Amino acid sequence: MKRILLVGLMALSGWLMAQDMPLSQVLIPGEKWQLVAEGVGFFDAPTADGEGNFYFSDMRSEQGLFRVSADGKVLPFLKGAKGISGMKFGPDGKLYACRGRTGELICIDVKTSKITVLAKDVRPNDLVVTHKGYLYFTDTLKKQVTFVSTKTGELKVADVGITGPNGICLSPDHGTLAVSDFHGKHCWTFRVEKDGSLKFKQPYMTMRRKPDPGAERGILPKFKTSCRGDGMITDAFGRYFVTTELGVQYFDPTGRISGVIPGPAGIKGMTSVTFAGPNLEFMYITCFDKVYRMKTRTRGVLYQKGPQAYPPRK
Amino acid sequence: MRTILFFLFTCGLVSAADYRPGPDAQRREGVPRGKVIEGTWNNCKAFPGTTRSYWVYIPAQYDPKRSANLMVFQDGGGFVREKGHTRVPIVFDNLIHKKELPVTIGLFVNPGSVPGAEKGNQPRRNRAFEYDTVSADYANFIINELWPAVAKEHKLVIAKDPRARAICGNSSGGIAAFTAAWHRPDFFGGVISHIGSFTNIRGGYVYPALIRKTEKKNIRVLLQEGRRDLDNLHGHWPLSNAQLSKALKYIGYEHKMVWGEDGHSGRHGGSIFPESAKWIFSAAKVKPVKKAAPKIPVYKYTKDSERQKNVPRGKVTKHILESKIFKGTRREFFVYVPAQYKPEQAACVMVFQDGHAYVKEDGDVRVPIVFDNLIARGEMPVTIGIFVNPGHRGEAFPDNRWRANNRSFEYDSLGDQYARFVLKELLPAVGAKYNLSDKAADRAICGASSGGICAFTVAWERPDAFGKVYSMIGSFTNIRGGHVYPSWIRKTARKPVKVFLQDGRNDLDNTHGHWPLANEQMAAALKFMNWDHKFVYGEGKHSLKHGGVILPDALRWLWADHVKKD
Repeated sequence: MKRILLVGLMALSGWLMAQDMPLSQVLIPGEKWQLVAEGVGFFDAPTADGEGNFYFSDMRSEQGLFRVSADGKVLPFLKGAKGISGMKFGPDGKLYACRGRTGELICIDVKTSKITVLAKDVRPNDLVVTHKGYLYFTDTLKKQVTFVSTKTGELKVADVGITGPNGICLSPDHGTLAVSDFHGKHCWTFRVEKDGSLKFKQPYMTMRRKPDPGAERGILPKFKTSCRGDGMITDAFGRYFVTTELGVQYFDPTGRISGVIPGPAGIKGMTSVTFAGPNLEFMYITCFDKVYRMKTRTRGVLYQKGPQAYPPRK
Repeated sequence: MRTILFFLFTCGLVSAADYRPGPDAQRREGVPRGKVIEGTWNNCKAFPGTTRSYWVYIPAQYDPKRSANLMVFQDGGGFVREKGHTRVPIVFDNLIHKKELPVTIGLFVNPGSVPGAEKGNQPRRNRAFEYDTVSADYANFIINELWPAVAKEHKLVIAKDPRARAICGNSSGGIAAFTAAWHRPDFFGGVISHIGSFTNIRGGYVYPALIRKTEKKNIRVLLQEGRRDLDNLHGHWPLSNAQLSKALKYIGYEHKMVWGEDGHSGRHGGSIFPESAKWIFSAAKVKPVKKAAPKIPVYKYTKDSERQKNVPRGKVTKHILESKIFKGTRREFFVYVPAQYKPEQAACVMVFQDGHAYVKEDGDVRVPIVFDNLIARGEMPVTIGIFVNPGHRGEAFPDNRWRANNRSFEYDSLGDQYARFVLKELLPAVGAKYNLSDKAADRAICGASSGGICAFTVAWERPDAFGKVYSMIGSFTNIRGGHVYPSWIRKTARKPVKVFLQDGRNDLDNTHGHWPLANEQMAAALKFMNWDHKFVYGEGKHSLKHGGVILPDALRWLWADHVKKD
């Protein structure tokens, strides 16, 4: 009996240790960033559809949106969806997108290419949609997170005060919303309430920043106040990923920084990150005029498929 | 959750010694029992949305007319259990009855969590945020929010002297205890940390650096740690506790370090807790341990570092460089070109910081001689050596070239500025005359002390430009923040850089840090992330001698990928 108990306890401890999420759980030795697309534009808004196909936006092109075929070809997607800085598929299969330059939040019917304007006179940067059809977008200039019901069109302020709200994502169970701060050092978390409002705001994740050797010398080294925290996504294990000027940084579900994955040498910067591919095992990053991907040991989540318990059982 | 934490601390995965609760942790007949009252704390102001359990222990001997001592416990549920790892209520009952401990109230607090708004939503666990963050927030929650409410409800009065109030915890609860006293020494005067996470869970690795450069605070600190404790992405627990202990000793804190053989378990800390509790509230002085003067071996050069007959000699020339990146500075640099150099073939490159010390044939490192010998034998590739001094502002260079006035800023600062200087100013100046390879695997960088961390920083910032590092007695300490590297390495994708580290067990222990431990932490971090690295740990002091003597070995190891095997 004692032995059985001991084995049980050891198994439990093993499970507890598993909450640590080192880079060895994410990276595959020898795997490198592969170039997916390059051009002269400004790439952003990476996302995946229900099958894991990868989509992105070239904010400077007339064509607007692109998708990547299974064999890696970059193909035009829809027509005239220009200037999109962030997008996700909703649970209804429609593509919700931020078009800040024209002051619009739009919804695209991918079958008909018909564009519906959900909200006008707004400056959405990036967005996320829950299984209930609750849409949240970041308005970086207004320092605001805005709630929009995709069903009723209701629009209300969900949060004000983050200095540069930019990337936005959900925990796999849709219970926690996270927002990156482009001008600050934190990614903030909120509890998503039944009515869609956001509660219990917390600076849950602290991003690594570049040293600031020019700053006045103190006891400890000084770091820059921001690392340009941008696009965000979660994986099936509940890790939060955020692009920064130091690379993709990720946090475990308890908010502890667990890894920094620098981008390829020579990139101009990094704007966003998502998981795509048949098993959602590829991490895609948009880097100004280039898109790269890298095969990982983990796998993404598709918010449009509804809430998921995490970490996955298997 | 509570049970899970309890299990975590009761069953250590690796246990070498059989640590058990001692006689003071057993119930005794005739000993009056204090009361343990459980409560829950919702509507938390410090951590909005969190809910948590707490327990208060009130000794039977408590007299509201006489103020009592206080001890606060993180992960309180594990400490309050009578069958737990520490069994605090039993220990306190026994010790107070024997008058070995002042009448002491216990406050046992669990970490908070934000429950999900809907069924099936995971709670937001707040333990790491509350315990591992280096700030006054958690202390202020206890001091301003929870304790006043508990004291009011149970009509408890505690002594005004902070030395009558201690705070205790295991793992992240241990660093939380230290953090609370560090930020609020006006309230907490004693810290008991078991297997404390003075690692980079959320930046807690900074304490040794912080302590060494901060005026002594009026706190007494007991640390317990196990030699088999964790080595993971957040850090190396035994080395981190050793660092903290050395820093406390350096400043002269009232401090006790208790080493055990266990892993990440609360059992050893629990078994010594009665003694720890007595010590933390006592005024007993810690006896300083007298150390015998270290015996430092004489490191002897091999033939590789001596001039050999019939080995062709390279040529060394001297130059001056004015920098734009380090505006207003000038520096000397020397270029060694091996006899085997052919302009049509790109040569490998090795850059030495504090170049004056390396280029001298009668110096500690004797690079030109070693290069001549190893290149002639094909044990390293044809390599151009660049020996660069640190920048200096002013008319004349100082006689002692180590004293160039921009040295620390250039070498000890974190960031890419020195890498930019090397890549945009130094290498082009040499490359104008010689054919230098631009492949990272063909380029090495080397230095000692601040020059050592400088070499590592260049490769860290530009692994695409430098693929090999040799650091001797490297200052991975807080001269200007270099203590961050072990923490960064553990949480950064491995860089394709070969690193050879050398240090001596009798290296410096000063206001900036503890060199031997800092280098051990570097080596442990590189090992954890599977870097291609080698660490040679000698007995020397802060001297180039040992690193100089083993230079031929270091070069053979660094350049092994360039040597054709027969």
